[in-house]
Amino acid sequence: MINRSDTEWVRLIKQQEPQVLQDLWERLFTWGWHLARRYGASEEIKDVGRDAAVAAFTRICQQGVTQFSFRCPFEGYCRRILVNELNRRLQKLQPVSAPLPDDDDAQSPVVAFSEPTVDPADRLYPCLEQLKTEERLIIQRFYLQGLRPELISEELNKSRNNINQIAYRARTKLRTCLELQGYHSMEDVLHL
Amino acid sequence: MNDREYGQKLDRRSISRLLADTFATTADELQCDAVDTQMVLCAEALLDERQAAQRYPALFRHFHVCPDCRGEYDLLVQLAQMESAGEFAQAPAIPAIPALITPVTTIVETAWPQRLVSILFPGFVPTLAGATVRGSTDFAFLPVAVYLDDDDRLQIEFAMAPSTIQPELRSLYCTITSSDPTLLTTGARIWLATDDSPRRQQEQQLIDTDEIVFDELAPGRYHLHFALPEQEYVVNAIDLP
Repeated sequence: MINRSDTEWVRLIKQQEPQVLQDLWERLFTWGWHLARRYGASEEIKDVGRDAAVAAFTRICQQGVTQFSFRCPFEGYCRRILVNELNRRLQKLQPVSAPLPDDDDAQSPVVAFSEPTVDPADRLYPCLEQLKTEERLIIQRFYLQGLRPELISEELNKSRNNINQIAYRARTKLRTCLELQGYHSMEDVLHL
Repeated sequence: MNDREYGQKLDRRSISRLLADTFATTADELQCDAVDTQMVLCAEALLDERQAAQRYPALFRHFHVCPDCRGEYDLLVQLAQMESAGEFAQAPAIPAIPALITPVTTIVETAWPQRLVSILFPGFVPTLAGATVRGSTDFAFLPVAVYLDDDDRLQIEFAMAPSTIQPELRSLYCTITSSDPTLLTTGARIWLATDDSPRRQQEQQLIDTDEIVFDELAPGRYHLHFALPEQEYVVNAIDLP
C-alpha cells in the first residue's frame, strides 16, 4: 500500500478519490479482522470485525476527516475510531457489567473498616441526596451496579463523554459536601 | 437517597471505590473527548504499562473512571503490537468497499402501509492496479457494498462484468447477505426497472442462494427493487457503462 502524508490522506478522502478510499477500507477491514479474531473464530465475531470496519469507514469519510486535528498520525486516528466501534460491539457480546478494579488497585485502596460506630454509608447518603436525580442515577449505575459508562449512555440516551462529565460533576459535589462536614479523605469518612 | 432508592445498600467495596474516586477528583480531570490524541500517541509508542502511566498520568487517571476508554486503549495497544510484529502481512480477503450513502425511508400506502427504503447507488468505480472483478479482462470495476438498513444487517454487493453471452451487454451480480438470517426470507423478490420502462425486468426470487445474476443488460440506468414482507428497498441509478 502507498504511504501518504496525513495531509494527503485528508485531502484525497475529502475528494473521495477511489484508490484512497479503497486503501482506507482495506486498512480498516484488515485491522478489524485481525483484532476480532483475537476474541474468537465464530461467524458472530467475524461479523463484529466487519461491521466495526464498515461503521468506522463511514464515520471517517463522512465526519472524521473534517474533524481530524493533525495532533496525532491520521492512521492512528483511524485506528482510534475503529477500536471505538469494535469495543462497543464486543461489549454487547460479553457480560453486561464491568468488573470493578481489583481490591489492590493502587488508586482505589479498600481501607479496612475498624468497627465504626456510624455506618460510612450513612455519612454518604446526605451528600448523595443533594445530587441531581440524573447524577445520583449515574453514580448508582457505575459504583453500585458496576455498569460501564457506554452502557449507561445507551440507557440515558447521552454520549459517553456526557455521562463521564456528569459523573465527574457528581464526584466534585460529593467531595465538597463531605469536606464541609469535616471529612477530607476516604479514611476520615470510614474511621472518624 | 436511601437504601430503597438504591434497591440495595451500598456495600463496603462500592463505598470505598466511590470515596477513593471522589477524593481523587481533580479540577483538571480529562473527559473521553479529550483523551483521543493521547490514547493514540501512547498506544503507538509501545510503552509498557508502567512507562505509559508515568508518561501520560492524566490519561491513566481517566482510565480509572472510564473502563470503556481503557478497553479501547487496550485494543489500540494490541493493534500497535500486531503491526510491530508484522502480523498484518497475513491479509484477509477484502470484501467490497461500503458505499457512502444515506438511505431515505418513506411509508408507501398500498393495501397496507409498507416501508420503502430508497438508496442512491454511488456508482461503479474503475478498478486500478491490484483490484480485479469477476474474471473480466475487457473492463473492470470495483464491487460496491450497499448497506440497506441503519444497523448494517442487510447488504447487497454489486459487481458488474461483460455478459458471458454477448460482450457488448452487461451482467449485474447482486450478492445479498445479512448478519440476521431471519431477515432473508426464501422467495423474496428482486427485479430491475429502468427510467423508460418501470415494469419489472428479469424478476427473480431468492431461493437457496444469496446471489442473483441479471444477464444480457444493455448499458444504461437501472433501478433494483428488493421486496421483503412489509419492507421494500430500491437502489436507484445503477449506471452500467
